[in-house]
Amino acid sequence: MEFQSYIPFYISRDSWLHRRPFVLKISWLLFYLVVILFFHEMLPLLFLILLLAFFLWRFSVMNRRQVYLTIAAGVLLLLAQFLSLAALLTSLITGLGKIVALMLLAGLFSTTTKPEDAYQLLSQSGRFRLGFLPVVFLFSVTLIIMPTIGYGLQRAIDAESIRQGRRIRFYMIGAWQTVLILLVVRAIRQAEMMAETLVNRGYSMAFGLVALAEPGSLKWELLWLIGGFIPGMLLVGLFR
Amino acid sequence: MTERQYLLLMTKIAFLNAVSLSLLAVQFIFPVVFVLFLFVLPTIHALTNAYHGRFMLLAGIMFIIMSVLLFGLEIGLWAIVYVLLGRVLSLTRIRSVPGFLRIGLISLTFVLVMLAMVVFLVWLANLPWAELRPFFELLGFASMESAIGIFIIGLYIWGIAVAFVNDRYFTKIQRYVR
Repeated sequence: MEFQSYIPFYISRDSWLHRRPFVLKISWLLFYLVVILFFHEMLPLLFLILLLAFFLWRFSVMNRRQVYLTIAAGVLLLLAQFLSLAALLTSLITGLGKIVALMLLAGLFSTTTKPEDAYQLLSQSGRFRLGFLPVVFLFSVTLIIMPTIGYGLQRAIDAESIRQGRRIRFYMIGAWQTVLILLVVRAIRQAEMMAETLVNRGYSMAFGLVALAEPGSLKWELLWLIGGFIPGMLLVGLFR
Repeated sequence: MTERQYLLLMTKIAFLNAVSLSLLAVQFIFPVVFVLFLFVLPTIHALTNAYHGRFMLLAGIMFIIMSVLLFGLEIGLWAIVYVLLGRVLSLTRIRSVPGFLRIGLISLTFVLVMLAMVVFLVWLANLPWAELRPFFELLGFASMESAIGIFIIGLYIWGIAVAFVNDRYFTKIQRYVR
């Protein structure tokens, strides 16, 4: 089995949204998360889905799965709005619309935000820095290690396939058990080796990270922050 | 705790979280594999096995936040299930709880967490409970309450299987690591 990646990880572009600071994007993410979760009307959901899809297309970070989801959710929400369906079906469609909106929102955030931006921000936290160091360390090491785990999983699958003399199918529970035990044990051994290397090279959790990000213009970013909230506030105001 | 032990603990948590996130990436592509991952991911979380309450909580919260940010809310909800089951497995192991009681606690956690997820999803979709009643009667159940009762019993049986497999898997991995 080969694993193709459809995960909306960071996509490198030089767009307006890519250049916005991490704080701005996480604030918008949290605000629209709340708006989507607490909204039960279909038209504003449809508008939000179309708006998010537009931004995904505009910043060239949209993938095929997101296109299909947008079309499917749009068609369902329009049908539910203009046909008289049972209340149960209408509620189900609204729920599906919310899930699609959340997926597009999370996709827009993750494809335009470098994971390193989060922990570079935390490293500038001043007197709160020491409290954040375990968070920063965990976040950065996890994200750095993740791609290697994917390759490790593929190698373990290939090794088990060779050992068994046939390709591993999804129903071969015993083979998957072996692969996963191998993966986890290897990860723990690699963690031990990495920790030894860190200690031997003098790394200490008592010292912070060197800040690499330059702070931008606060005034303009504050205006963009408030501007980003306006569509959500308009939707809430119009449809509540 | 020495600097070495602290770094080893944090690095181990990071690596195990990375393994879990990689497996969640598979679930993102094939959502139905949650049936298999219920037997695997709680064990991986239990392996963080920090004898320090603060780090157990931190590892779980970091994993849930990263799941939501990378894969969205649906996968994030499953991450919560895996973390909670892993925590109960880990705590019962640390406290040397007898086997049958350990299985019982983990399966009870599973039932409660899955019921909480169902209630949350029903709230999210704004489904009216009164509208659901005729739907259960159409399926042949005497009432909605009897359907829910059968659902809970089914969940508990599933939970026992999940608890048993995770416990055995944990023992197997510990044997290789020690």
